[in-house]
Amino acid sequence: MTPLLAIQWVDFGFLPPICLAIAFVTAATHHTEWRPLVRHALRSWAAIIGGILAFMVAISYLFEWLLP
Amino acid sequence: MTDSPAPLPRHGRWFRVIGGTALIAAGCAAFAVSKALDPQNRGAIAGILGVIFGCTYLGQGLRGHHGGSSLTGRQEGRPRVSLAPGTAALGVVLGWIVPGLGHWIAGLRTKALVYFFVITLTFVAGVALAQGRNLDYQRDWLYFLAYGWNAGATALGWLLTRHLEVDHVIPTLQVGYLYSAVAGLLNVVAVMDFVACCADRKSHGEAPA
Repeated sequence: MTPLLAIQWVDFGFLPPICLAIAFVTAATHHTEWRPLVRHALRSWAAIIGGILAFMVAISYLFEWLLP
Repeated sequence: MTDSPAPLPRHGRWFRVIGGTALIAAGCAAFAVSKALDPQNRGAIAGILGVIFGCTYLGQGLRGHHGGSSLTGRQEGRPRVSLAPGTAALGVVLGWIVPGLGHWIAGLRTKALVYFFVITLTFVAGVALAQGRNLDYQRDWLYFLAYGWNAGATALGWLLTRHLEVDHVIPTLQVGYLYSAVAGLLNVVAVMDFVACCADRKSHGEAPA
């Protein structure tokens, strides 16, 4: 399985918007002003998406290595 | 008001780093297995929640402090609005029906708008992706356990779409379920935030409202 196939396998495309919603709601529990709230939300969103993407790519390389 | 976040002990940090990584791994695995094996995709919510909580714990472990918990109100700068018990209870009920309405009556307008737009848009996106076919409580009672936390939009959506049947293949039906269910669960976070920052009457005197 190639990394690209692994990302398609979990339908990665619909995760970013839903993670953005989660990031905004959790950021709103910490801030009452717009700018820090948006900054916090976008930063945590990028971290979540980047983390999932990196993890999936790593897992798919692992699968490729374990199951040739 | 200005109490800084408590630093975590060393074992607490490692517990969070290892536990957070394990939660992210378990969440991704649950999501992928559910996607591959379950046509109804029921494990996907658990998978996504696992990844989100995993990221939270991992972040706490790497930073070395709590950074505050949204449910205990310990973070720095959290606004405290003291309300009378009756008003606070009313705010919880209003927040359950319309996301952010409790915060609005307490005067926290920015939070209220963020909660309302984000949660309502996520819910409406789910209904649109499912072409209005994801709000049948007899067929989808399991999902209604999550929708129920966003009561107003769910009731209105059910009233408007109850005559619709799944009479053709909708490729994004499962994604629609997921979006609307996550919107309901996010409203739990919003209501808990209201409880944490607006119903804190004991330590902050009498109510202004």
